Amino acid sequence: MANSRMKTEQRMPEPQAWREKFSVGDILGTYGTVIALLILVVVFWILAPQFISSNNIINLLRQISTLAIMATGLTVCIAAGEFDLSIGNVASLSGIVVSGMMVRQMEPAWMAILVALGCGVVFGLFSGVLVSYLRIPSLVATLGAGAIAVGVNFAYAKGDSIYGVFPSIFSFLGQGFVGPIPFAVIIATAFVIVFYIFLNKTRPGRYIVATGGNPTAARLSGINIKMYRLLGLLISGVSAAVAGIMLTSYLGTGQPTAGEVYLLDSLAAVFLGMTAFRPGQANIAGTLIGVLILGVLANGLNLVGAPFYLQNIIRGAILIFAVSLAVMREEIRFF
Amino acid sequence: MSAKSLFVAKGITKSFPGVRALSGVDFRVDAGEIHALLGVNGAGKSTLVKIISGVYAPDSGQMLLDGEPFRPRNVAEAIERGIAIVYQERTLIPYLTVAENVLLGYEPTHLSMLNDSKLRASARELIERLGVRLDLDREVRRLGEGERQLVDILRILRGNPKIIILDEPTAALTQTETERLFSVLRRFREQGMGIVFVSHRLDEVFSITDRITVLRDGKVVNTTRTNAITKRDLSRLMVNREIALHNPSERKVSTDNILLDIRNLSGAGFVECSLKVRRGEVVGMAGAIGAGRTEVLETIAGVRRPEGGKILLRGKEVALRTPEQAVINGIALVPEKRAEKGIIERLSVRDNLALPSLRQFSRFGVVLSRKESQSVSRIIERLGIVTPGIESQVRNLSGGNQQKVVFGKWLLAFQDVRDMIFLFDEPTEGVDVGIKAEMWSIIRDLAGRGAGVIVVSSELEEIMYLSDRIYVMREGKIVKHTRTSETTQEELLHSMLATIEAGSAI
Repeated sequence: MANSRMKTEQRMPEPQAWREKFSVGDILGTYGTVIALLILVVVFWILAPQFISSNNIINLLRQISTLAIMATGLTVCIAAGEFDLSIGNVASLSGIVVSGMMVRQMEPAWMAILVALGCGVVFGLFSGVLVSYLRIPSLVATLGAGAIAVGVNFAYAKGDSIYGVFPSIFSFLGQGFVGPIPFAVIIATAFVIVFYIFLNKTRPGRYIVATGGNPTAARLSGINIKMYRLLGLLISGVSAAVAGIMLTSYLGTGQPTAGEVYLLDSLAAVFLGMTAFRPGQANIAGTLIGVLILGVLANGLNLVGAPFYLQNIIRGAILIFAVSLAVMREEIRFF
Repeated sequence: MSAKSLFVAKGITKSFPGVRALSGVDFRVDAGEIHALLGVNGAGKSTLVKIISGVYAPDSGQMLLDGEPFRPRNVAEAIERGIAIVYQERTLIPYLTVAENVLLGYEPTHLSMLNDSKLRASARELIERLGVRLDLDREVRRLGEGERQLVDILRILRGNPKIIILDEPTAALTQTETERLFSVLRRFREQGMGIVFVSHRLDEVFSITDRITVLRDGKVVNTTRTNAITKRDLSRLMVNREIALHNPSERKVSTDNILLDIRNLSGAGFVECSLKVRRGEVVGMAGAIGAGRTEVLETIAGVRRPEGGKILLRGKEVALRTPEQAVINGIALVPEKRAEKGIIERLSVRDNLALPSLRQFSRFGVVLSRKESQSVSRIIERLGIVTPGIESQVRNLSGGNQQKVVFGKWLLAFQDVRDMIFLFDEPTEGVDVGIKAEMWSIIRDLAGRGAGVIVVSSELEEIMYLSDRIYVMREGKIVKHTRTSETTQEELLHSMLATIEAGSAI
């Protein structure tokens, strides 16, 4: 994951000297966020011994699996240099569609899942085309696409929740276990691994990173940056749809706004992740740490009986702190 | 010539609306040579380079590459045929490693999966061809400028180029990095490549190149072997001696009233600079790009922090930590690159002109728009700013009129210019001929009314016309100080580009 930093045989020229001085800070920069996670774990362990129980850990992992899927998809999108603000809405839509298809249209689970994924594809492509080919800034395009997704959502189910009996094979996705491990955790883990490999070890993944890193240089190297931006948005859209499906399976009902809250958390996880391993660069491993931090926080605060609003305050504070640290060291630049 | 000619251009002509950039240029690059392309700003160097690299097509003339006709329709074609160019700006992805950047777009893959070890091996092989040492796995953003440039060079090596063009390659390099670059270039020369070295720096040209071509006003003035010419002669060739030196009529002789006294000022990009500006004087600062003149001006204007030395304003020492403090002390900066630094494009002409003066037009924080409009209109008339109206967006104005807006806002802010300091950085860059003449008379007029003026310009003619005294900067130091009447354009150019001379204290 982290690059092995071989000692360079050459003397760094003067302007970069400050980077040498920071070599301890380098380690802190690379692993600081991981250390923060470990500290959090220890703190909660002390405050609530049951935090470390296998029961709770399994619980925690299942709790973060939806976020992990969504944040991973968002990571790829941000790595391509674009934002996707529609993921919450797309997740909600996909959840409503998958549950509605099974309960109201009486379609088999695989069909419902296919259609719900299709929603993710459609909205991902839609945003992608707006951004890549119509040159609309992603912040605006995805905000609009998200609003449209909400509209489609309400058009389909009128804003009602969808109650009914899901086919057991569908419920297994979110509620089932393989031995002691929730199936949802297995799916989320697979998701993260697949996209880690995609972003770091495949050519399209490399080109996505190049497009986000310096679009001009990427274009001059013959990379089709339009295509890779679109791919980034497509991936975040589809991931959101997958997350919505998983969430619905766990909840057992179709909730029209179930996915909304995940947008902020996903962004927080990705930004937190940008301070770890490859400071300044959106990366899957870092996002995973971010997701874990958020999950540990939520779970831990719950266990110690903290009032629920404290969650939001602490979450916000951590996000600000993490990003400021990186901005101060000039590792992240937001234009 | 026994050397094989890799590239030949004959009779290249290129015009753009309103200007003839190149006329009948002949240019030849042989295998195994480093060929310098010299000329002042605007002489046509970059146009020629763009034609060779496929960005532009010439209006007339022919090119041959390896004996075959060469008419690239785009950059990709030129690269394919073997022309490679290393720009001044890097084209790298900061968070990828050296190896990943070098092979960007050429990664060895197996079914879309990247083959990391093969990639690193290929990168290592290219690095060895270059004969330098680079850490393959280091993220490029952690490299110094010299090493980043090497990575860019490695990237172009992938295409097995026959000709490599380097555009001002040493501008951002340290001495050691420059040495390293030169040993790389010598290696290329041994390998039979043709290298075009576009540069301002005569010392370097004499140290590494085999032949020199000088462009002036779009024409080739001379092509010669490097060892067959002197630096002095070279300077003389680069300067246009046909423009008559306007010797402005009797200027007001400066009084001893020193408005601005800079002593041993140092900062990022310049060291130990000392200069004086008296009331009623225009002081010119000549120098090549990167010499540090803008940095000095910006430090005087409070934009940059000095690292040493003092600034005395009207006899008293001041610490100008912010632009606001500079303005309060009566210092106005008309910056270079007005689109970036001088105007707020989206705002109206009125907003831009009134900006530093809003306090004058407000009561209790509310702007009195009538007063504002009247004052703005007066300035527009006085300076002859051509605009459809004061509410028009300033970005719709021509370059010259935009420049007047940048200057006009200070005229509005400083009602009385006597004893005020005006700093002009490239005041007529991108400005048409008519307005250029107006700007010149505006600047002289300011001095005439008792202000102290510093003009930074890359145009020697402009500096010589406007200034009473001239300082020449080179690589961050002031290397010459002279009365305008005691020098010539060639001498200035020589000081700008060659070795440090003892100046005369005035």
